[in-house]
Amino acid sequence: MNDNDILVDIQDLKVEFDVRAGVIKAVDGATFDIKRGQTLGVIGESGCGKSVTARAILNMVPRPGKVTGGQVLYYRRAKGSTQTEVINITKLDPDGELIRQIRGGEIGMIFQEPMSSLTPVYTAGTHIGEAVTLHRLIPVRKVGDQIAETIQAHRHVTKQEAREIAIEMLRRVGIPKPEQRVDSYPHQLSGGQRQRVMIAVALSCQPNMLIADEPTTALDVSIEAQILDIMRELQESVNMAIMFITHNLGVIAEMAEEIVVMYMGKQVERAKTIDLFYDPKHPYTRALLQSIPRIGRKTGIRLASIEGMVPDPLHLPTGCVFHPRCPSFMPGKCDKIAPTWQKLPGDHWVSCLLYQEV
Amino acid sequence: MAKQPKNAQSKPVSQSYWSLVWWKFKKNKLAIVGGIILLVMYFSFVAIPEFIAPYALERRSEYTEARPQTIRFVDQEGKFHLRPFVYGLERKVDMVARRRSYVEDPNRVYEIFFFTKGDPYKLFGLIPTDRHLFGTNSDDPAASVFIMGTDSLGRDYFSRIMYGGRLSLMIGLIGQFLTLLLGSVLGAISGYYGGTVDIIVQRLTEFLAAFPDIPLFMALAAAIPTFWSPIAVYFMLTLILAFVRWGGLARQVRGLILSLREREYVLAAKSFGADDSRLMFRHLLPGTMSHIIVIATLSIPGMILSETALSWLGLGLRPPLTSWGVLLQEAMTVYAIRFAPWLLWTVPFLLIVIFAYNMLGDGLRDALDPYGAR
Repeated sequence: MNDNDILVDIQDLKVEFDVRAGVIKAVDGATFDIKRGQTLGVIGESGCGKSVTARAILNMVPRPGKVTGGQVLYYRRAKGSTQTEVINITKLDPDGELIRQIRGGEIGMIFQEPMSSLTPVYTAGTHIGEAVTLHRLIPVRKVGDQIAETIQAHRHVTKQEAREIAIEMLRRVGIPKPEQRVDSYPHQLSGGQRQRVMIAVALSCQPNMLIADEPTTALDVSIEAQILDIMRELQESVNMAIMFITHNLGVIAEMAEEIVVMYMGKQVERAKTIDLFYDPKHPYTRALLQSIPRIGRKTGIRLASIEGMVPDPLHLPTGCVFHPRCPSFMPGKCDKIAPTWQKLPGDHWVSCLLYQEV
Repeated sequence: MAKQPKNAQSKPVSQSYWSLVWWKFKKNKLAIVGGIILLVMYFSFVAIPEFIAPYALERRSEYTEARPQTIRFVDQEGKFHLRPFVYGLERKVDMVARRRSYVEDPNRVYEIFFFTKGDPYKLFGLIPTDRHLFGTNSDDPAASVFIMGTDSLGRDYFSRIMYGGRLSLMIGLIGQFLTLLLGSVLGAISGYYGGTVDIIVQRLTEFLAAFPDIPLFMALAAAIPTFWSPIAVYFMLTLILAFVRWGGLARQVRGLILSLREREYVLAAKSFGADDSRLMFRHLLPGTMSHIIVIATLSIPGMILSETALSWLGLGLRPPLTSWGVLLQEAMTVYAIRFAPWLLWTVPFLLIVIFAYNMLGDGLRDALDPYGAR
């Protein structure tokens, strides 16, 4: 692993929500990194902390949530240079200038609900134009007065340029007749088109990383396939990292190179996609994979599901949080000792007492 | 790239919000009438009162408190004239009541001409001209046309209503604009940030709401230095009106922002690097615009009435400025109502404006919610 390729490094991230009934540990010790140009998948059931982790990367944890531990390091590199500057995102002022440059400009994000992610009063072009004028700078050659040397300055794009970029972006995400669609309001676009517009907005500033928070959940399957294709194509053309959050195992198998599995705020397993699907280590991952319906499956047999219920986040089980539902539950061990993050051969990480000597 | 031929598919399938609003607004005849009345009134009272008024503002005649001259088409012999005319006024002194009165003298006939020459003025404050909508064309210095009588200084009352309308109607607009500015900005800040800021702003609005209006007006109006020029007093007064009235709007905007800020597009805009002011004023406030327009339309009459009431009490505008409130102040006495009831001609104008605003506002309220069940 070349350290130089790391883009975002999440170290032991803890996010807590202090609600009236108690403290909810939404993310508890998430540790993973995202490399340049790589697609990392994050899966887990609803409420397991996937989205909160993503928000923490942009320092946008919703109230009353708070990052209570760990850090998110962002290895910032100006376009075209090899100089890397490390920024600790969790330490930044959440409304500061620097984090706003990173949001959208360097790390873009798209959301689950394309229906409501666009401000209803603005056209598609205005949305893209807004992101572009906020972030994209055009180099201007200037001649210094003192020394006769050309220096690079930057200016913001003009309205006309922003519109041209908007049309170009809409064309790239596969919206037909972008010259006309650029003036469409969100309610005049279909769900798939809106999500394409969102992707266009997110990609218009050529970010180093795209956080896709369940981008296709609200779309039907054929549109989903198109959106995934577009994301992959664009990723190849601009060498962008993607953090792909979903609970759809089929989608993630297709998109991601590496997968992190989360359960109740904790990451339970991390491996290359192929390893994870062919050789899942953690009982939770295994159970997840078994619960996918398959073509050719015998009819009349109930689809495997995970025993029990998701625990109350206010009263998490002791020891391993998965132990009440775990088929490999070891009494006396799993309910007493919290497993630690273990490395197995082949860059396969797991957090389970089955692979730990205690 | 060759331009693609437009086909039926390229047309937006759904109607835009504003076309739905217009479609619904059109069906409300009262609102259309109100809108047209307002357009006509604002144009004639604010833009071209000098043209419509037959006399200049300060033009005094020798006829003081003269009764309105009736516009006639039929003369004493019963002959019909196509051109309207008025009879000249003749002064009579009533020795019993010890006052002057005027009677029409059928022997002096002054024809009314349209687009006639009169007192010089500058149209829109720029173009020098002396054309008036109507007037007598007579060379006789005693010729006059006072369709609504004259005041105690012999000034044509109709002309004064025309000039007074400019200040009264504009104070509604300017004051409401300031109210909107103050109310929506503070409401947005209050709703968006919440917490301490919200508490401070809301307690402030409650304080203003709990304070009785008239004493507050009086205190603030009394604070205006008397040596200020009338026009400075006018702007001060609009500021005072806006200052007292922003609270209600701020509360409504806050409520709307509270619900809008949880929408996903706010989060999306934030994730693209928009800062707080951009989120508030570009993404959240436009969503409250339809609501704001309605509130504004419905509260402009209140603004106009406040000015009128204050000026009537002598706390607002003062002569030599002319507004409807100032005009009504002159009609305040029992004497005026008893012997010069035409000084109340201001009231119907005021009523028409207020009714028109309410009709328009009601129509807008229904129309701006085109998906509503009504």
